[in-house]
Amino acid sequence: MIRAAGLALLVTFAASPALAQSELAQAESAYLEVDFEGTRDHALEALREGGHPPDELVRIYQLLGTASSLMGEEDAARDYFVRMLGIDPDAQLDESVPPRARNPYLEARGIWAARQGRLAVETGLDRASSAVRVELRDPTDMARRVRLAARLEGAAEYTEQEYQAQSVLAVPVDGAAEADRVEYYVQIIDMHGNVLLAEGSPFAPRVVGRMPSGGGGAAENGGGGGVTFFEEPLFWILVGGAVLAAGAITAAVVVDQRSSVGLQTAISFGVD
Amino acid sequence: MSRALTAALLTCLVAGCAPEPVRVDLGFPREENFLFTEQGRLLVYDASGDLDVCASLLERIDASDFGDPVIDSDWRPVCELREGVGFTAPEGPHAYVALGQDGDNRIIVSGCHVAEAYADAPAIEVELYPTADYAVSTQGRTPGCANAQDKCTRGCL
Repeated sequence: MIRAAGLALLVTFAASPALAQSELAQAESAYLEVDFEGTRDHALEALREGGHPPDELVRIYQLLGTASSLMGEEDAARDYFVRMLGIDPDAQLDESVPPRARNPYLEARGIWAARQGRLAVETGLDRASSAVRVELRDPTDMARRVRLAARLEGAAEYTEQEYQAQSVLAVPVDGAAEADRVEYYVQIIDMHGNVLLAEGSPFAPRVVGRMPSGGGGAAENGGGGGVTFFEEPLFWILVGGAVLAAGAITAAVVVDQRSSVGLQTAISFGVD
Repeated sequence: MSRALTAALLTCLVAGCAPEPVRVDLGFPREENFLFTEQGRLLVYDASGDLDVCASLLERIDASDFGDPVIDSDWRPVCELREGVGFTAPEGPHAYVALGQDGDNRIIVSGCHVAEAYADAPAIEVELYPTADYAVSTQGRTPGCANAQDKCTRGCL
């Protein structure tokens, strides 16, 4: 009896992601078979079943946008692409997507270019209230819940808490007021239970609190943490190097674009 | 200020900095010739060594020898070429060869023009002429569509 109940529970837990994966796989198959209605239907089912990590969610929105565009539903396609770029600003369309179907994607890029900010979270340790402070930026209003799991450094178990999404949250963590550091991972969840954004993971958590200084000891910063890496000269040297490299790459891309000329076919008729 | 610069740079990167593509205009003598054409193909050959390469190229192609083009669109619905297919232009003088075939894979129109594509260059005009197979292909037939717009939006019967 107990074994049967356990099996049922296992099946219940396993079924949901398996089905969602299956819907996404079916959407991919339909897309390869040029069945755009099927692509859209399966991708919508995958979206609604939830449980997808950000990379899969980007693919779902990409399939939705591409299928909608190829069916002539350009407004819907643009909205899907806006959401896709909200999750991954660098997401590109497949090369197989024909030029006439790319307009909604380009519109979505334009919308993001004119918009302030991206989906993002910032965290800090609020010792006064023994809490991890989470600041959420969500320009497209896709976030519904914030899931944060935290533990004092050295502790074995995380304590997971979930809250309604809001711009600023203080998630209480027992003992955080006295702890040197708190390890955490945070996920931003959409209305279907998909993960829009994940910072850290159980095996590679993020850390807030006092950071070890160069002298080997621990120093406290004004907000309750230590000397952060923002105050390290090496950090700014690295940032400067990265900015210079990015500038050089950008200049190379611009020069490359200017030097390459495109060809575009057209048809005309003589005097009949 | 830095935001404005970033936005300008991004706009430039996404769209603004690339020059306008050079139009490769495939000129059919009459609209009727287009209506009988099912598939089109654009091939581009290096012509830096011989600017009078067109006649020999068309002869070779007539013998099904497509040689070694630097661009080959492959056979594709002629309406796609009408909507506009994009390629990266090769530098220097090149022979632009355009072909059209009927539903039985017979080449019924062909044309060639040597030109150079560069930023702000004028359109490359490839004038197409009916081949010997055109008369065979179209004898006793009338196009299933009234015009090119119908052909490319609804398809011909």
